[in-house]
Amino acid sequence: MKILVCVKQVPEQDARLRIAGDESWIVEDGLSFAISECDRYGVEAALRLKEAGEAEVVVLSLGGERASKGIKEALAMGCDRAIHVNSDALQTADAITIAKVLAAAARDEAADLIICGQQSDDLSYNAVGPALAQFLDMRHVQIALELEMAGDAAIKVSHELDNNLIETVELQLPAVIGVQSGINDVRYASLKGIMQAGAKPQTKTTLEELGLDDAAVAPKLKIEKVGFPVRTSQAEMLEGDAKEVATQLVQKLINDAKVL
Amino acid sequence: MSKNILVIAESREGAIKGITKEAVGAAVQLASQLGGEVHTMLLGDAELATELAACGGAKVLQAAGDALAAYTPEAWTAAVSSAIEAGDYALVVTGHSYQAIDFFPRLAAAYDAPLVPDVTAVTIEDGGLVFTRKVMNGKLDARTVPVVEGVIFASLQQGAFPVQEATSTATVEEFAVDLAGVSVRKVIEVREAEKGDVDLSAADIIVAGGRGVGDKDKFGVVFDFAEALGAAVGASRPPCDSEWVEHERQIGSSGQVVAPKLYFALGISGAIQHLVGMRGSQCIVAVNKDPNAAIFQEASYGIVGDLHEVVPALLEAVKEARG
Repeated sequence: MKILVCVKQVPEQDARLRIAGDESWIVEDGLSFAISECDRYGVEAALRLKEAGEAEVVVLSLGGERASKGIKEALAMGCDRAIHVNSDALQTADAITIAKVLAAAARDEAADLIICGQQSDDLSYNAVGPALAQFLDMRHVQIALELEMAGDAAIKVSHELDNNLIETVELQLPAVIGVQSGINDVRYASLKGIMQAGAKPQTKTTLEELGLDDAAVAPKLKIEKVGFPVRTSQAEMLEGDAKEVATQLVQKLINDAKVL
Repeated sequence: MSKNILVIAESREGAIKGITKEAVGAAVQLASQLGGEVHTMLLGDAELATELAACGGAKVLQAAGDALAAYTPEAWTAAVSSAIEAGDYALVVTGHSYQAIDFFPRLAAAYDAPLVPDVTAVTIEDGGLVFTRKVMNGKLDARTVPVVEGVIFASLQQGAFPVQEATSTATVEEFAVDLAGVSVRKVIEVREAEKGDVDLSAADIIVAGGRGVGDKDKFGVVFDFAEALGAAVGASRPPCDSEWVEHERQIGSSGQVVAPKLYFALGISGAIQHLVGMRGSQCIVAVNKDPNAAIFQEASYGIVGDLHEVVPALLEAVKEARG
């Protein structure tokens, strides 16, 4: 059994963002990057399946040099080896284009199971897993909550649907699973894991080596401009030290809003 | 170039969902600017065709059959593909629901076409579609444009497009789809998510904490403040994921939907999945360190600051005011 788990490096969630001068994206210099939250749960899910049976877990990441940090962390957590599609070009590419690249990298691996986070913290397309499944002609489940092998060749997955419904499906492998955050307790890398990570095999590849020419990976969407939302609501911002704002707020809630 | 728009409908408990009505309204406005028609598509649910027709547009494509009795991504992808082949659409739209998240990317990938998920605004500029969507956990608006020819797939954020009064009633047409060759994933069961013992819907005041609270121990300040107010305690997803509080306290699209008189959002950034669960509150107070947090867009009162300084002061102020 071979499990491929996809991770993306994204700015840490509480990072203070600044808009670049040309407004085309944020200023990335000075930001800390980390594995996107749902992807971390994906790594943990893959490692748990490995521990419940027998599997090789391969971490796959698309990104520039900074993707190495996430790869190293995933290896330290217990992944067996890594594939790094080294490209800076697709950091803000659309989900279909990203899925196409991941599919090209995954195809030769012939993994039984591919696990992704259901969305990334940066672009939040919620789309890479199902799109990847389409490109690889596999079944998929998106927003998975529970994963459990059903024999050697199938997996049982519960996932969120609308209206607070949870559906359990059984998929024949190979399949792609997009996991939700919060589905397990993500482990920290042990000291031993960190020591061993450096010695684990890492394959670096490029778009070109994957047979993807410029036309194949030409993004389908362009982010023309980013900006902080224009405040449309009537929010009254209270200013002062903690005691002052607290007193003001309580008076307003009692006298103006009449909700206290 | 095609100018028509196809809207994929969704239902809930025997009625067309609000998110679908919003999408039809948005599509009708766009189509009138493009000079095209809106077709809506109903999968399964034949009895809802009249209700969908009344939402507007020119045609309802009503697709029925055993394979569409319940949602599967395979049958939905195949049926919508048939409609796209039979028609000629510039844009295929649906609400950004969990169902859309499950099957829309497959459909867009099958067409190797642009997919614009979770859209908050659409305009037409120089004849082309311009989308706005949130990035970086809802903190930024990104103006996003398709840069390739052909059909575009877009899912619209719940609540971002107001339901429009229909200006026309669509004609219902049966749309035959051949799904005989489509094999679908095997469904074992569908169940309701466990609700637990915490019912927040009856509370007049809710104090909710988010990632910004910091950790499980620090969440005590949320409980203390709630107790002083006689309020219920809620949370956004991260504290539930990290098990600082019980999952049943989660407010949002995968938790409870609440509309109290007064809602405190403490250290909650304001991801859309949370906002849809509390937006209906009468008065919203947001406390967050980040002045750009999306939650301030929804708030009646906002305080930029460390909740661990502000909340104890609020607790004192409440006690004082109440004598």
